[in-house]
Amino acid sequence: MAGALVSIVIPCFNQGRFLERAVESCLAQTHAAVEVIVVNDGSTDDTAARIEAASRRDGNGRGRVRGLTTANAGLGAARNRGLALAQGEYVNFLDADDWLEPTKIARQLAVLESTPEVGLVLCDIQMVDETGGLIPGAPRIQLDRFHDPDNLFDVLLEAGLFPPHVPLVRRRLVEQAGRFCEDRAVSGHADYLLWLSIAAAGTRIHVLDEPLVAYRQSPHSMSADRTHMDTSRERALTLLAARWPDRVARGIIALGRQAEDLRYANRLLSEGDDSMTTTATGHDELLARISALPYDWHGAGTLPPNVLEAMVRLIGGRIRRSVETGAGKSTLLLSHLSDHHTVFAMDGGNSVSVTQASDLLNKAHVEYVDGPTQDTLRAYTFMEPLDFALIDGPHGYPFPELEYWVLYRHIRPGGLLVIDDIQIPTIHAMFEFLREEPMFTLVEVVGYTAFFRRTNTPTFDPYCDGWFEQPYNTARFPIDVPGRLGAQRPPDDKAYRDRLVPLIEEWVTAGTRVAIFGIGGHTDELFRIVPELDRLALVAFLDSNPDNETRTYRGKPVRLPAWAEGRCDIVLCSSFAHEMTQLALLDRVKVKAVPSHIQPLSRAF
Amino acid sequence: MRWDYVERTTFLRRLARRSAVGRFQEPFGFTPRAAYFRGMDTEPDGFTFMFEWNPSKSPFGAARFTDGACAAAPRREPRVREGLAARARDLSSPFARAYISPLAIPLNMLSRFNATETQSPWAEDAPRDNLFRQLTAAGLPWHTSAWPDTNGLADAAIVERAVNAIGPEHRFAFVHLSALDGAGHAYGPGDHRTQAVLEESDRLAQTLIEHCQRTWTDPRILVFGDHGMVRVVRSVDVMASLHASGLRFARDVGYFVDSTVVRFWYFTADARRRVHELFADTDYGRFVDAVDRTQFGLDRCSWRNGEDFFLAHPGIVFSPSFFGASPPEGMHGYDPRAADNMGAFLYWSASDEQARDAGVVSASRLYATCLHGLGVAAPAEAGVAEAVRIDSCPPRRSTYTVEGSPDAEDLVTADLAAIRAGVTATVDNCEAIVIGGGFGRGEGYVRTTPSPCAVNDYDVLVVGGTVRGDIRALHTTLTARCRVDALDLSHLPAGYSVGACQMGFDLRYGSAVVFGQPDAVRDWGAAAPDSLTMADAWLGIANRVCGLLEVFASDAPASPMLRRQLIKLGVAIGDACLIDWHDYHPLLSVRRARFAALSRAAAIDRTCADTIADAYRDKLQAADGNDAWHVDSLSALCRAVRLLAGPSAAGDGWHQDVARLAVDGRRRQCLVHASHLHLNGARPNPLPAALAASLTRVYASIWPLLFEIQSGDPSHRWRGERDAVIGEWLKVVH
Repeated sequence: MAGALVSIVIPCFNQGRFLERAVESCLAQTHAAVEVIVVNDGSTDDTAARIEAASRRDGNGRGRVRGLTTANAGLGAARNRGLALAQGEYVNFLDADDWLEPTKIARQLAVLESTPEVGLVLCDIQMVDETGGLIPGAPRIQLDRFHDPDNLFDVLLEAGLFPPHVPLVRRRLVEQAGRFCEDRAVSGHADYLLWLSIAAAGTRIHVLDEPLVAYRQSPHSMSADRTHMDTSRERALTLLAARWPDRVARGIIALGRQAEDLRYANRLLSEGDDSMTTTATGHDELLARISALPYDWHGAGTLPPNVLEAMVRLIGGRIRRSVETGAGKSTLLLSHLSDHHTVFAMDGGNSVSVTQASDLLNKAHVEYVDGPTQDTLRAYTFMEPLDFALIDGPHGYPFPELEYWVLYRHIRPGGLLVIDDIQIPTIHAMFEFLREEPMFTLVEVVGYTAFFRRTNTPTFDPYCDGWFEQPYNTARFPIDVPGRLGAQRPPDDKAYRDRLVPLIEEWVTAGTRVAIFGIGGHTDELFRIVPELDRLALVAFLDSNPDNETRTYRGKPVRLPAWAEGRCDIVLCSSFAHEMTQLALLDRVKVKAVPSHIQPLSRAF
Repeated sequence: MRWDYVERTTFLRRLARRSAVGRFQEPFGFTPRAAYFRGMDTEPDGFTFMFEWNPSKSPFGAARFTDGACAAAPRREPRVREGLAARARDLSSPFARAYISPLAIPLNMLSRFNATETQSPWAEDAPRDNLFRQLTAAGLPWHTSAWPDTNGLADAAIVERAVNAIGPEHRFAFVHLSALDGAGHAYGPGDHRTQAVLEESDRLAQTLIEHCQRTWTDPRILVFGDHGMVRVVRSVDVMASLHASGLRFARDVGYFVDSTVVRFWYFTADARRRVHELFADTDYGRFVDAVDRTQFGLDRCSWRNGEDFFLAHPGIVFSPSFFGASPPEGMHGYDPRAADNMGAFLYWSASDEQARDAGVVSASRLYATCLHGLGVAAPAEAGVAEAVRIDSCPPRRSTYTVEGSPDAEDLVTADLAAIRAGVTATVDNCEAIVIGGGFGRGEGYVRTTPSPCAVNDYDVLVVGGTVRGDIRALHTTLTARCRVDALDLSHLPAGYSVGACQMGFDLRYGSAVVFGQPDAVRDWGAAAPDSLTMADAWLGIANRVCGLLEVFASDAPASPMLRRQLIKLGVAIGDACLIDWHDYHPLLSVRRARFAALSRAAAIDRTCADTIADAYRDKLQAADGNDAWHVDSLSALCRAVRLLAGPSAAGDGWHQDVARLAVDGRRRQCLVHASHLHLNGARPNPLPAALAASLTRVYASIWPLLFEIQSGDPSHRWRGERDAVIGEWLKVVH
């Protein structure tokens, strides 16, 4: 007999009728160097005779089969008695009602012989019924779970409930693990306990993914007794935990994780299509959770739910770039709606620290710039156009205006500008201004929050003056300015006359006292085009230069602008270049000053 | 950023001229951040790929309870995947959470895999020594804006954040831009959309680098692409092969199908043999052998990283893969030594602005390089690679010539000085003097015997200015001065530009401006290789064919002239292939390497491919005396032309028409049709009618003749048509 000796231990308690097939399967192994040790565990049937017969058949008692009869002591004790007699380097346990396929030992032994670090080789099983017939489609061992070398203990804990004749094991490891537990209360799981003990001590397990053993299912077998199996498993685990508490603890965590996985999978599979569309970051759920935060969630005042809802609705999906001044619920919301959201805020009222600590914050998408926005916004370099800007930082005048000045030029056409707290008078003024500003269209006012959308109108130069180009100003201070300098002539003389002559007629009729601002070329040009001006009750010409005060022009005295106060009803400016003087007149003279080519004059009076 | 992208930028290209420039070699597999910041030792981490075999730790454990139900009702799968992704994020570390995804891993396999990179080196509790810990220990503040913390951010936003965050107090900053990688995968390295992203990346790099230059004193800037980008020319469905093999997943074998690598874990005794048999005799990849395993650091990796590795040849992707169902247009993750798999490397120091050659720089050297640049001593642990030191990098010598020897460079430099002096004396206020051709590319060749002189022509373009003197006389003088056979001297008006043709591309990216505006030609030609049309490629081939016809008309077939024309035809065919693959490059040396790699990936007949690669080699070495070239070489070249007329990855309509006709055996019609389409349909700007008609006649004549020459007796009837064909051609070219 060539090759390493393999000991096969068969405990038998009143299963003599199956014994012959079990023993024959051992003797029929293609690896012939086997010794078969049959332990009669105090059987009352014909087991002893059958052992004798088997021994006789194999070398007339001097062959490979040895028998041992003991008083009934239980499965674990019987296996240990057999093990004590074993001489092989490797050992295989076999219950008397099961059997081995002929290549079983050879296939597993080849692995053990070639890979010293492997201590245990498993194989798959073929289930048979009580009569020995194959049960097609019967479950097998989850051998694919064992391809996880660093976690075999965890795997065994869950999937190690295989029959004892599956492994071929190095006998040394069985001895080191303390053999089988002989406690009868453990007998259903004595083998399970042994394999786990071997794994806990650290060995590699190899899997041969082929059915090399037959496993008989019988309603009378011990494994069919669920009560015994449960209590014996509990007992086995108690013993295991006493010896390997850390390994068992880790294993329980792993099992718990699997249970969670299973529950989660069941939920995934059972939930309907609709419920699955709402993920943890789904807008509805998110909005609900943010809105549910209390109003005094932080000390700086929070946006009400309808404003948050409007933000989600008007943003209409994901955006790339957003900014807000101040922090709070909007920060949480925008951290999910925006790829890159920047918050300019100080931690006043702990709004920053509270949002940063919230588990609703999608941190990866938010950048905080700490400090007063009066400084931080101006110092910041924006490289991408903004899809969304919320002005909700410091509310005192002129801080929102400063924020607007930095932000408006970066908002892309179609982007949203949101102004909060428009009930504050100075902020309301900005709101009124924006309502008439062509760069923005008012989309919606929700409570005290106004939503504007950026139009395609070119960006107002943030470094120009240009107040006279802004409709809010021109509507209230109706000056028609054809160009920045205001000194150009209107497009044609007729238009010029058409605007002014009706007014002149009116002023003549009413006897309005008129002064004309300017004594230079513009005024000469004005009189050339509109000679009807001579019909007016001109009281003076105005000029800012004190040196001209003593002069006359077109037969009338030249006065300083302040002279006009109380002495005339209308100051007509020949050129927009006198803008500053006009402002002075507005304040001090209480008259309307107009350049000569004004269009909506009638509204001004 | 692929190594050669720098030349297609504006800012970085200028910076490169004052920097140490090399090629960055990524580690095998993927590039964990530890590669840069801890010296990339695979041993402690034990992985070289993003996912590992680790069923117990997989955050996708729930997948094993869902795959059966999804297989029964596939409509469930998208929802289930979404749910599995959410759970995986919940179960992963904050770092892994930013990138963990079920990808396209089949559900029945998903529960076996776990993400490997779970922590950034800059995390406060990072377990091992790294650059950031060194910096912190030395009290040097640092900043990072990098994947995956910046996932979801556009590059502009990343730079915006970085510019606003990096202040004078910082001593080190790491900023990672990723849009270029995405574009390279989606569109391919030579696509105009990739080019647009490249230009945007260049602009952003400029913003960032200039910010650092303004903010810091004596900064050192290191720009690197963590890998290159290889044009994908073929995809192979290895998953179908594995399915069909009968190998049982997780029972016989485990595998992870990456785009360029299939990793295997073997669970049965014969699994390795069966897998190797499955891939034996394939032309698209190889198993990583023992030598490369050691070189790639795989021996020191955990078993979970993979037992066996089947690596695709450059230009081939495995598709579908666990990363997606559709093949990308560009890919990396090939053999790290493959040329186009390498990234750019550029190291600039304010205090040392010489053009230097950094050679090939492996990822493991970055750690020491950064420490050295910061003046922080590298820890005295084994395995810290040598730093790249700018002052130790040799100066770049080869500006004009292939060999770059001082004598050759000096000779060309002197010739160019004479050309510059002559031109500026003859043309007033010229905008620029541009050297094209071999010397412009840096691939000129200088002969030392019998006396030193330039072998290649000098192609001189004078842009703008007013010709004051006699430019013909100047041409004669310069030709004599430089002792060359030919010196092409052209004067182009100011504002002149070349269209999106091969010549324009060569000038744009492969010329030297030796006087005047350094960017004089930067708007010429196409910005990206995919703008070069196959029509141009065919025109190039036709041009070379006509050259051949001239040789046959006037000379014995074995003459040096024949060899030269065959080499040129070979190069033109190779160029056509590269144009077809949208990855043409102005340098012959690059074209040669790229063609060699991609022709194998494209499964072009080896004889054809070798002949064309030899043509590049001999053209580069000006070796037209090589006896290997004879009339039989034409056979391989003609086969290559036929291949080129076959179905194209680009899917051009006219190309397919030609292919159909070729399959039908209607060769003459096929070629005429190709010519017709080229002239009338495929050109963005149609040719003038007379020129088109003339070209059509040329095409109609030369193609059949070429095939007949190749297939038989060269003394047949084409000789009778010779004068007419060549006459037509000369009318076109002159």
